Amino acid sequence: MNSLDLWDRLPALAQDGLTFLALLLPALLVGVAVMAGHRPLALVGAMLRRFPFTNALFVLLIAASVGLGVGLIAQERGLRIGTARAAEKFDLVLAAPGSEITMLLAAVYLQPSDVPLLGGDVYAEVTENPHVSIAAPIAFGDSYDGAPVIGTTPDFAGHLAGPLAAGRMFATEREAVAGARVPLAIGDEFTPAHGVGASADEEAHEHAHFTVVGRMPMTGSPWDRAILVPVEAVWEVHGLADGHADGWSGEVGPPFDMARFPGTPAILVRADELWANYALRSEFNRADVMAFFPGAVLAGLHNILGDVRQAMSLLAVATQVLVTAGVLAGLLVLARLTAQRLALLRALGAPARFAFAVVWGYAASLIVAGAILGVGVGYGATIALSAIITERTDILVTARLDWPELHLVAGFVSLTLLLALLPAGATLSRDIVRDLRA
Amino acid sequence: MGLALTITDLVVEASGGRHLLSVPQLDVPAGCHLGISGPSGAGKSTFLHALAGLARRTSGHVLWDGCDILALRQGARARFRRDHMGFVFQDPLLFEEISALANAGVAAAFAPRRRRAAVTLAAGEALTTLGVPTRPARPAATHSGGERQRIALARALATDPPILLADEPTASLDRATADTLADALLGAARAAGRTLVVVSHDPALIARMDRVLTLRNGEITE
Repeated sequence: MNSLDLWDRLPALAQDGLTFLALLLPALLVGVAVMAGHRPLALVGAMLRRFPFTNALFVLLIAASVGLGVGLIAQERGLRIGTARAAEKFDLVLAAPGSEITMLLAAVYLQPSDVPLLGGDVYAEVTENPHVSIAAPIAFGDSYDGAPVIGTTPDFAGHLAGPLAAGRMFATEREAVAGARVPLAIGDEFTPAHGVGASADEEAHEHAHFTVVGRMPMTGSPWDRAILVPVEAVWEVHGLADGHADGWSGEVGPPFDMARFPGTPAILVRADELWANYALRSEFNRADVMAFFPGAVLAGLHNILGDVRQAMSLLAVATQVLVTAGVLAGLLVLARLTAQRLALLRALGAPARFAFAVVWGYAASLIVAGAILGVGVGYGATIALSAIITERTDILVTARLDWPELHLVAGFVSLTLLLALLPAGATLSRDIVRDLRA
Repeated sequence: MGLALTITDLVVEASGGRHLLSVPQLDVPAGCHLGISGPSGAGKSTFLHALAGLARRTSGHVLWDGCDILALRQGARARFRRDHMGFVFQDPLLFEEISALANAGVAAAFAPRRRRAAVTLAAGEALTTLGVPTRPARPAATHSGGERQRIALARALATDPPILLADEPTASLDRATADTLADALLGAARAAGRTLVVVSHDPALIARMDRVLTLRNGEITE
C-alpha cells in the first residue's frame, strides 16, 4: 500500500484535520524556533499595550481580509448546498425546447418566466412508459399575497413534501396545500391573483375561491412559499379545459384525457429506476421536447460558481497577503518607535534572538488575533448574507464553518508568520548605540 | 568583586573615519569608582559604549580582567554584558506599560533558565532597598522621575554584575533626587566591590569618584 492509498483510506475528518495541521505546521515550527528558551511574552504584551489603537487597527485590517476569504468560501458552499437541496426532489424535467437554465429556474425555483407549452401527446407518451411512477404537469403564473400558486398533481405534491406537517393533500379542484412559509392556516380561504408581483391582477380570478386543507413541512426550497393546488383548477380558472373527459368524477390528478389536455410548461417526471431516468432523458431529447436532470444543470452552474469562487478566493488570499504585508510594513515603523527599548535589551545583554523574538511575537500576536477575529467576522457575514439570500430566494442557505475555511486561515497564518520574520530580522541590523541615543 | 579594566590603543571612529575616541593606555583597578567628565561631544558616552563592546568601528583592546571584549563576537559580547555589566542611562528607558518589578527583572526574560528566579528575586530586593514601592503593581509610567531612575538602577543591579556603567544617571533629576540616586549608586557599588564607571556633567557626583578622567575631543586630558 503506498502513501496515497493510505491517505485515501483515512476518514474525511482525519484528512481534513491532518491537512489543517500540515498547513499550520510552519507557523508552529517557526513559533517554537523563535520563542524557545526565552520569555518574551511580557515585553510583547508591553508593545501591544504601547500602541493600542494602531494595534487594533492592524488587527481589524487583518480580520477584514481574513473574513472576506472565510465568508466567500462558506457562502459559496452554503449556496451550493441550498440550491442542490431545493432541487433534489426533481429527478427529470421535460419541457419545450429552449433554455434548460430558464426552465430550471421556472420549474424548480419558481422564478416566473414565459415558456412554451408541451401538449397532451407528449404527456401521454411519458405516462405510457412503464417505469414512470410520477408524471406531473405543472401550471404557474398566479399568486396570492406574493406567494406563487402552483398547479400540480397530488402525487407530485406528496413526493415533494413527504408527509404533510398538518391536514391532508388536496383532493378536489378548490382545495389547496400551503407551503411551510405561507401565512395561511388550514381552513383559510383565498382567491388567487392573475400574475405575480406588483402587476398581478387581483380581480381576474375573483370567482375562484380555494380552501387550505393541508400544510407542507419545511423543504428549504422556494416551494415553502408556494401554494399548491390541483393543476386542473389552474387550467379551469384560466378558462381552459380541465384535462379530463366529460363525466369526470372530480377526483384530481391523472389520468388525464389527452384531447382535453390544455398544455403545460413542464412535466416533472420520476421513474422507478435510476437507469430509467437516463433512458427517458435520451428518449425525450428531440426536436419537439427537451429533457434534463435539474441536478446536472445545477452541477454545471455550481462548476461555474466554483470557478468564480476559486478566482475570488485567490483574490481574497492576495488581498490577505497584501493587507498583511501592509501591516508588517507598519510594524517596521512601530518597531522603529520601540527601537530604543530593543536597543536597551541588547545593551543589557539580551541575545539578538531575544529581541528578534519580541518583535516577531508582537507581529504574531496581531496576525493570530486578526485571523481569529477574521473567522468570526467571516462567519458573521455568512450568517447575515445567508439570511438575506434565504429571505429573497426562499432557498434555505445555511451558514456553517467547515474545514476549507480553517485550511485557508491556517495557510494564511503560516504564510504571514513567515513574512513576520522580515521586520523581526530588520531589527537585528540596527545600530544599538544610535538607537540608545535616539 | 569588580573586574579590573585595561585599555590599550583603543580607537573609535565615526563612519567617515574621523576619530571619535582615542585612548592609548588606561588601567583601572577592580572595585575602582571612575568618573568621566568633559564637555558635550568630548566622547564620554562613546567611551562608555566602547567599554561595553557596543560601539562600532573600534580597534585596540578593552580587557576586563584579561578578557578583551572587543575581540569577542557579538553573541559573546552580549553574554559578557549579561553576566558582568549593569547599565544606568540618563533616560531610565523603562517599558512604561509593565510594572517596576517587571522592569527591574527584565533580564530574567532572557537569562538562562537556572538564573531566572534569582534575577527576579534580586530585582525585588533591589527595589525594596532603593525604596521603590512594588505593591500594588502598576505601570512604570505612573512612577515619579526619581523612582523611575531607581527602577533603572535596580534593573542594573538585578543580575549582580561586577561592573556598573552609568551614563549621566542624574542629569534629568533635581538636586535632591540626584543626590539620593548618587548615594544609592555608590552604595551599591561599594557594598559589593563593583567597578563603577560614571559619565557625568554633574560635579557633585563626579566629586565622589575615586578617580576622575577628563575627555576633550576624544582624548583623555586627565
